[in-house]
Amino acid sequence: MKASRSTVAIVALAILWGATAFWGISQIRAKRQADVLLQNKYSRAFYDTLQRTKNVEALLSKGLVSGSPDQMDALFSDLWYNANAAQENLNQLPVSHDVVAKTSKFLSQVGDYAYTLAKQNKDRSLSDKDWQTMQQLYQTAVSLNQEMSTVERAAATGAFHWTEIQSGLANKLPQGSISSVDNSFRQLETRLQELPVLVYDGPFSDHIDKIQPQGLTGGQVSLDQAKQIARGFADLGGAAVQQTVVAGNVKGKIPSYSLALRTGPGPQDTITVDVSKQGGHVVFMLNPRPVAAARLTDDQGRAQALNFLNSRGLTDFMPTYSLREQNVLTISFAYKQGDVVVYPDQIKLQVALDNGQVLGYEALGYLTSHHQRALPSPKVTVAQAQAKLSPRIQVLSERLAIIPTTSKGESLAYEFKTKLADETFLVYINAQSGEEEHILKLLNLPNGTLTL
Amino acid sequence: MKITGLKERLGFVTALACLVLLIAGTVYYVFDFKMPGPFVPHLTPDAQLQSIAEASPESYMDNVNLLARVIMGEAGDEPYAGKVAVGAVLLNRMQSSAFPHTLSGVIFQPDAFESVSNGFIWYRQPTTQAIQAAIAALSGWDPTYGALYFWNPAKPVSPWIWTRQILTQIGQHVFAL
Repeated sequence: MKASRSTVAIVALAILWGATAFWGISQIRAKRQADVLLQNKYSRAFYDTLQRTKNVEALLSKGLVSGSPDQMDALFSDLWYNANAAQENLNQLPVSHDVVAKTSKFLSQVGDYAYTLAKQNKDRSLSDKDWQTMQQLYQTAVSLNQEMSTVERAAATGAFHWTEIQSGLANKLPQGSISSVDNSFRQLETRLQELPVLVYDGPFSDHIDKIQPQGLTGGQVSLDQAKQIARGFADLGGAAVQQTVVAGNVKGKIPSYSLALRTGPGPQDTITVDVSKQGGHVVFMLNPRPVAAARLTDDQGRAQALNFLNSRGLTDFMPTYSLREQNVLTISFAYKQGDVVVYPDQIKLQVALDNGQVLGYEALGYLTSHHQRALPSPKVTVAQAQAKLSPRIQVLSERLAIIPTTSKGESLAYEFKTKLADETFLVYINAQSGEEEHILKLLNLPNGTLTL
Repeated sequence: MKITGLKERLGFVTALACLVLLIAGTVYYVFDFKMPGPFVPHLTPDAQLQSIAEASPESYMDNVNLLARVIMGEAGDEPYAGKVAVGAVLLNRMQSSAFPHTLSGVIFQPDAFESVSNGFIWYRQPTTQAIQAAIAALSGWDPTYGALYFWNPAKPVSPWIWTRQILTQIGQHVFAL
């Protein structure tokens, strides 16, 4: 067919348009991908800075409380490392230099200060002057963290993106490769980020991996027996189990049956329960039902949790820490052998505060380390242990506890609950050697107590 | 230019129509807000998320928010146990010597998670269930018993990952050491 000149022109235009559009769109895609990558890089640097400065604050406060020169050496090394890491990450962010200059300077100074103290601190404890300096640094760290948290909340709710700040400095790209910064940190030893959640096995988590579980008593159970155990164990809140389905088979350090108890048609009506093949112990339980407004207090929630444990044959547990979030109370329980709190034997529960139903149960730590221990009698008396504490702190109470040590063992220690100004710390003194083993900072908050 | 004849007219109209469609399609595609990317300045902050951020200790909620976003991105369609499992894998990586030692390091490690690499985690606000799952994972729940890797066996993955020891499967994801 014969095409008129206008048709040819239009076809030519269309082809031209198509080619340009194709190029333009691929450019837009590439730019968006690059933006996402950049956004991620900046976010990582920002969150790392945030975490490191929080560590700096916590370490400074522990330094104020410690009574042992050896412990302080370790703290200062950690402090130096964290301050350094915070400062390097801070300088990766796309904000103009005058905004971060003071913060960067503060972090460098803390790092240098800690480094100097670590080198000098062999035989003496902290002088009064040094202690005052550390107090001031600590106060600065506290206000710095508060400011950074405001920024984080804005970033988390989507109020701004790093790339938007970046576009204000469009012509200046940050010097150097950003990814090489965090790579260089892998070689250093004191790397572990401390996540300050009560039960995040933070301070006491190492006991879980690579050890044969000691708490799996009993013989092998069949699948049907496991199903029965799961149905009897879960807190169904009055509902009936319509169906028990095998969701999976776990071949980990605790081989288990993973069961799904269906109480209704929807995905939120499924309670997941894992039962170990050996002994038929429940390893964990998760119930995702939505929780309505809270009608119970924290104490009532704890009472419900204790009831649950007792009714399932788990006696001799005491609640240690709890956290209320979104109307669910997460509670950590430790086994008590006589008067001694055995921290490695830990069970966690989640209680719905609308009706007291137990939604979550977690016993991996307990099943890994629980056994009847032959407790030695302490070589150090309470008074001798208390004498080892820093004279600047006030002792509120004490008790004996078994705590995991970093070399995957356990030790018997006196747990002193102490106070400095208005902050509470737990100081652990080894009951055999009298050495200060560990310091934990307690954050008492309206919705719970966390340890750092 | 005069257009005469039916065939010519038809040819002209068809060509014009194609051109218009092409232009319209391009415009729609370019401005289609469904494309993932950090270009969502109009996203209103989730009211509940905001109130959680106000009421809680900052250090805890940063991690919960971040973890919840990744859980949404990686396991948004998975059952609750699968969401907690993904959160637990991230935390297990933090403790392993082979991975970065901060949560943000693990999350933003280049090419570690698809939803991070393509920006999906910034696009959607985490649901209440994702936040609950993040809290459970941070509180120690680990349905994977220590796994460091997870993937969807129905999707194409590198053959190397199949050499890892598989521990369990939850929902669509397989979890391995």
